Amino acid sequence: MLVEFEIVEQARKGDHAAFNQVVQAYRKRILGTISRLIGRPEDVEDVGQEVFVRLFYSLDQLRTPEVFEPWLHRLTMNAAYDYLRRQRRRNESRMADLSEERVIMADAVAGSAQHAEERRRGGIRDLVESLLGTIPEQDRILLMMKEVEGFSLKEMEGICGVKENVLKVRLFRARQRIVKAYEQRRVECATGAQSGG
Amino acid sequence: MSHREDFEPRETTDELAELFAAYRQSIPDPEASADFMPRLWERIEARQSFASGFKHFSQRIMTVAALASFVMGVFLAVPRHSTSPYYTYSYMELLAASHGQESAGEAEIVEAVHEGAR
Repeated sequence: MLVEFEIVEQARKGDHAAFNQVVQAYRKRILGTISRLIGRPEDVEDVGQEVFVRLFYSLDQLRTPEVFEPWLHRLTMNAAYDYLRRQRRRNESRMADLSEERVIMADAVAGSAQHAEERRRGGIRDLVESLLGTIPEQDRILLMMKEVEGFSLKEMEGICGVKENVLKVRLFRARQRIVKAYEQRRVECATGAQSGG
Repeated sequence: MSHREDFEPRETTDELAELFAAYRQSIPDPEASADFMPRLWERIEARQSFASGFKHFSQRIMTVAALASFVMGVFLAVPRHSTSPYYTYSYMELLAASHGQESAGEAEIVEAVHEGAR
């Protein structure tokens, strides 16, 4: 826990100062998780605020402070899931914007010492996001929580309220699709390199 | 051997694990902007005022509905006096009367049929 149980308890009872303390303790971690889950830096704060608004209105349902962290992660996953679903609806137009944004960003860093490193990171982000685009949002979030955020199956069971075996099956299927997409991408790259060279 | 490795080539599994680790490193935890907290409280208060507005609205609707039900109940419960003969008879009385008329009509028809047969 990043804050004392008593602070959570006070926030639960309606103490706004205590709630501010809880937000300040967790916001960096939550914003980090959201930014990796949704892959869009410009919307991270918006989704993060939505998580804390939901926390504010549901704190009174928290039975024990011990389950606070899994619960906060569940709110985070739900908010990210809602965001990704909304995004899918307007995906095509946003993809065009995104490419433009990336070009502008790439232009901005071009010529600087960090250019190569930023390009490498951008390439990784693009690749992972395109791979994650091949699986449903729900599986994407599960996979990210497990593989990128490093949660154990036991922890995820507590967060999602779903049996470990069910999670294993879903994760296995999601991973299979990612592997397939990854191998396809590798073949395309190899073919592109051969035809180019 | 793990469940995952039974179905995936080891090379791909390792590459994916590395890719996810690199992705994790490429997006560090960001710092919140200076107006994060003020904007958060604005959103909380906006939702609070919307919720309380909705609550007041639904309370008003409930009151109006209860009042309308009461008025309707009174209207139906109070016996009304009318000079129209239609309202002075009960349903059963009207039914019996119309049955009597229909029976008389039927008797005439039956009689006419018999006479025709003769």
